[in-house]
Amino acid sequence: MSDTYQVPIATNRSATGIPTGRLAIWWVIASEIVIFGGLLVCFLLLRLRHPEWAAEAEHTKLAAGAFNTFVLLTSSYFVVLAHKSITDGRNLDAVKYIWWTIGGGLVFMLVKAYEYTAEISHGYTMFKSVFWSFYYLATGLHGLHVLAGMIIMAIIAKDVKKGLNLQRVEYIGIYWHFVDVVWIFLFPLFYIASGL
Amino acid sequence: MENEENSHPDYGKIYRWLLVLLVVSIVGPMTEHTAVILITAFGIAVVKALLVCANFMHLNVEKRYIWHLLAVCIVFLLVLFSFVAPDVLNTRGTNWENVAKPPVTDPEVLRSQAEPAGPPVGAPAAAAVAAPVAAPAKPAAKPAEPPSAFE
Repeated sequence: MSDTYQVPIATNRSATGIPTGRLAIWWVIASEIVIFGGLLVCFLLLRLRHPEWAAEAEHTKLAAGAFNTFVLLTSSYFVVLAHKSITDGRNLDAVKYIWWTIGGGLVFMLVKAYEYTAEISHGYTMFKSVFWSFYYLATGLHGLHVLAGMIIMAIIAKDVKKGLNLQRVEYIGIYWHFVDVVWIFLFPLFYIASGL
Repeated sequence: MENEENSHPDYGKIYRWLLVLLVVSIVGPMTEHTAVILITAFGIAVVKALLVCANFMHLNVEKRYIWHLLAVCIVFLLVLFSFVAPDVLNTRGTNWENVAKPPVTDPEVLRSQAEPAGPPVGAPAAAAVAAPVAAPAKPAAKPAEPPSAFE
C-alpha cells in the first residue's frame, strides 16, 4: 500500500450528480421514513379506532415533551451552523457547534430518562396498554437514533479537528435533522393529542 | 467539497420561526376545540417539518432524484394507511362484522382504565390503617382484574 493519502472514492464519485456519501445518507433517511412512518401509521390507525387512548395520553408529561422539542430544534440549529462553518472554512467553529449539538442530544436523553423513570414508577410500563407499548417503542427507537447520532458526531468532530472528512458534517447534519423531524411528529401524537 | 453551494439561508430566522410555531402548537390544544387542536398540533407539525426539511436539510436546493426517493417512501405509507384503514376503522362491511369489544366512551370508565394496574406507592400502609379491626364475615373476594387495553 502506498503511504500517500488518497481521497476515498465515495466522496468524489457521483453517478447522479449528488456526492455518493450524501446520496447514501438520503437512502438511509428513506429507509428510516418507512420504519418510523410505518410505526406511526399503525399508531394512528389504532388511535383513531380507540378514542379512549386520549385518557392514556393525559399521563405523558407535556412540559418535558415540549422542552425536548425545544432542545432538538436548537440542536438542529447548531448542527446546521456547523455545516455553514465548514463551507466558510471555519473548522474549529464547526467542531464547537457539533459538540453543542451533542450536548443538546445529551439533555434530550436525560429528560427522556426522567420521563421514563416517572412513568414507570407510576405503573405506566410498556405492558400497561397498547398506547404505552407504542409510546415506549416509538420514543425508545427515536432515543436510540439520538444516541447513535451523538456517537457518530463525536467521531466526526474528532476528524474535523484534524481537517479530515469535512463532508461528513453535512451528512450527519441531514441525519440529525431527520431525527428532529421524527420528534416533531411524535410530540403531538403522544403528548398534545390528549384532547382528541 | 464538490458540488457545494456556499449560499446559506438565514438559519437564525428559520430557527426563531420554529420556536414560534412550537409555542403555538403547545398553546393551541389548550383551547380544547377539536379543530383548533388538529390544526395547531398536527398542521403546525407538518409546517415545522417542512421548514426543517427545506432549509436545514437543504431539500429546497437538492436534486429531483432525492425528492422522488422520499416521495416514493411517503406514497408507500399512504398506501399502507389507506389500504388498512377500512378494516381497522370500520366496524362492519360487506359480509363481515367486527365483533370485538366496541370502543369505550364513558368518561368514568376511561379514567379508571387509564389508571395504572398496581396500587400507588404507600397504598398498603394506608389500607392497613383504614381497615376495620373486626374480621370480615366472609373471605375477601379475589380482587377484580384491572381492565386491559390489550383485549
